[in-house]
Amino acid sequence: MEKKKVVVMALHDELESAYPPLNVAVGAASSGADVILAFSRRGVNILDKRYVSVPSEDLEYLSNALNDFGVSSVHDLLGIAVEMGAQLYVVDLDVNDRFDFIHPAEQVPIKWLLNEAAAADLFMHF
Amino acid sequence: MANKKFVYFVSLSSNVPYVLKKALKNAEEDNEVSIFFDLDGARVLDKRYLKIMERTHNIDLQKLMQQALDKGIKFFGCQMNVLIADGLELMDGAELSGVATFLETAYQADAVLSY
Repeated sequence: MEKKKVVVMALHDELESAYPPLNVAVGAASSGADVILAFSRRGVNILDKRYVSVPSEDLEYLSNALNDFGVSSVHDLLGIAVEMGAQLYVVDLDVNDRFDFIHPAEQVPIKWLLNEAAAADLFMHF
Repeated sequence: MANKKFVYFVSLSSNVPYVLKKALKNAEEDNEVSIFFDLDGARVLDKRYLKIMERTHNIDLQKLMQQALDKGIKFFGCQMNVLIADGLELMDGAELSGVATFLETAYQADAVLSY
């Protein structure tokens, strides 16, 4: 069977926005797909070692619920995605941005990512 | 025969009324529609939540969801959803699924939209 190509982009860093792209990336990578996991200027915070997942207002219950359910942390899930072969990219970083990435990520122009997305079997952004 | 296949991925319950309206419109035009509910979005699949949120923004959510099901729209709740720990009372017509089912459906779709 032809290998699938999946491009997932994390646009936001709130807890409820961080899990879906990582879940899709892990699921796709574990089923053998080539996965590009990209982060926008806001989503890139997820990659920072100092990142703490905080839900949006009125969704605070999610933190406890995820914890009670024994769900992996955002950084643990990111680690699983990397282990499974997902490639990490960041777009639109400013030269003045200072990040301490938990995993190496290549900086690419948004046009490159959109070209990859156009050629993918599945492109999603969250 | 369905014209196109649409997949919606909704992780915020506040977006559900909008997604349902769009999904219904697509289904009425003979398109095949599936909605995957995750995280906070999956709350609407719980009968208890629907009782509380009977009306949101002048929309009877329960009625809208029934209309969608009657129209053949498929509802999937994330099987790893956090609400299960709280004793999810899954509404009739919805089913639980994992990311593999989502991917299988999404690969075949003409459009995958997230909210």
